[in-house]
Amino acid sequence: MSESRSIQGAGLGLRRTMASQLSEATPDGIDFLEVAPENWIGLGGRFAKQLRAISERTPLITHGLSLSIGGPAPLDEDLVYAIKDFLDEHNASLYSEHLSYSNDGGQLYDLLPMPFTEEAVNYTAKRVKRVQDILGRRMALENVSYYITPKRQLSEIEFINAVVSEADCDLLLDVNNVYVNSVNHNYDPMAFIEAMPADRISYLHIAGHYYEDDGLIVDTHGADIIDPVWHLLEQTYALVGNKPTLLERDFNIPHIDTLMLELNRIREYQGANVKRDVITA
Amino acid sequence: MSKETSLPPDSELLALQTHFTQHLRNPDTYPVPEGLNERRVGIYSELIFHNISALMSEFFPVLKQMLSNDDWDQLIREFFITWRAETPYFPRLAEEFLAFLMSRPGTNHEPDYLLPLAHYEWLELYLYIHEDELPGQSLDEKTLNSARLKLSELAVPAAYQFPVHQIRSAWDEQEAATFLLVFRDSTDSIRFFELAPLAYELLSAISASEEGVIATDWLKDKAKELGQDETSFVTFGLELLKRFNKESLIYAVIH
Repeated sequence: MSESRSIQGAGLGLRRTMASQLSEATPDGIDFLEVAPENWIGLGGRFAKQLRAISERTPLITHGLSLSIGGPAPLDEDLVYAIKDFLDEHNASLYSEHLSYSNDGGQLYDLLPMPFTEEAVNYTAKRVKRVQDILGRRMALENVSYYITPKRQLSEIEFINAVVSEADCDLLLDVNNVYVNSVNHNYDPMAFIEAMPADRISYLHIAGHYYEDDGLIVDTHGADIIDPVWHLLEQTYALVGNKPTLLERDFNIPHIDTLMLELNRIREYQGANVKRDVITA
Repeated sequence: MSKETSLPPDSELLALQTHFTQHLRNPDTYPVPEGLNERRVGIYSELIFHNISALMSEFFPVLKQMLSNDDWDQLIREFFITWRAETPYFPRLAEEFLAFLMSRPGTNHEPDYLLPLAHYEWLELYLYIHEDELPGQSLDEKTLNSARLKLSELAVPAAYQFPVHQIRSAWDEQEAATFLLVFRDSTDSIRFFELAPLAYELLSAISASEEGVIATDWLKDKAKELGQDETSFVTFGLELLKRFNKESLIYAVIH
């Protein structure tokens, strides 16, 4: 395996619609880019050339969508092997997935909520271990936003801690999801972050979202980041250090200059915080 | 498949997850699982539906435009109910949707050009993301005449009973036998040539052949078969091949 590049600072989720512009030049202020491997594996033609140009210049990390790590369908090991090749090809230092499921024998293309049960912990942890065996490296799991809990033997905090500890994996802490869940499930977001395994946090996600009219928040990655989330990010840095932070924007994608404003603000917060943190996967 | 990473049939987790996804796929038949907030479950139903609808309208923009909103939504719902998409790769979902369309009888009020159009839009995407590159050979006239020729994987001859490449909202919906060579050019853009039936037949023969086709031989045989003038067939064929050679779509098999 080639030596991976460490990441730090502020990164951006690369969508196919941005690839053309970013393949010409990566603006100063984008320290790394994150791609969903399932959007790029097996692609030739223009997209492949753009991604190659980008990953030769800018450190790349990967954030999966389709593995369905906690799901009822058999673990897609072919996908894991393909991701391993993709990581090597682009010298990508990280692979993360969502602590959720998306496949019930067919892909459903969305992140469904896990029951918070012992069985789900054991099952998911075994699958994560298998993935890590194949990849020859640790993966990170992301705390997802969820609107229902199919069954609750454990709290969400207990559930996440148990999976991470049993699987011996890393955590991708999505600060926006913590905020969304804290509103939808009525808890203190900072207390939640304090209860996360800080030494296992490999990087952070931050995004905007939409309000529904009856007070429920739906996580869409389609809007600017709101002030309470910025505040939570600031507090998170103070607590766990300046973890590398990735801005996600999936819909209503504005001009790159607007995204740069948010990236710069991330870096300002990191600069204001004295705890420095660099990760190497 | 490892036992450790699959669920036993009596698993509670399996039951919780399948009851939930059954409802999401087919809410008319499977009610909201007991104990779950209907309003919140509805968020998942909407997200799932809109995700796939948005992806498919990206892959099949003309089809989406030609169908009524109700027909489009009905197709997406049917896709969830009857189809299990296996590919984890998002760009390959177009293929799954086409396979789904081909597997179903269709309804009376759907347009007859639905399948041909879907195939054409899939073909454009298929070529756009194909991992091959053009062979990059430039063939002289002698080689075009006498060598065994093959067609690049990035060029596909396709026959339709509708002019799929011209379908748009102000279209008169007339059937017309349509022969195309759809290809990815040297700038990675997707283009097409309209073909005469004979040209389509020649390119299909070249495309299907493992060892390559000597075009002049094929054209002479075809002229004989149809009782036509050999020279004019060969001349026609060579002019055609020159055009494709210019785009680097054909290559000679070297022995």
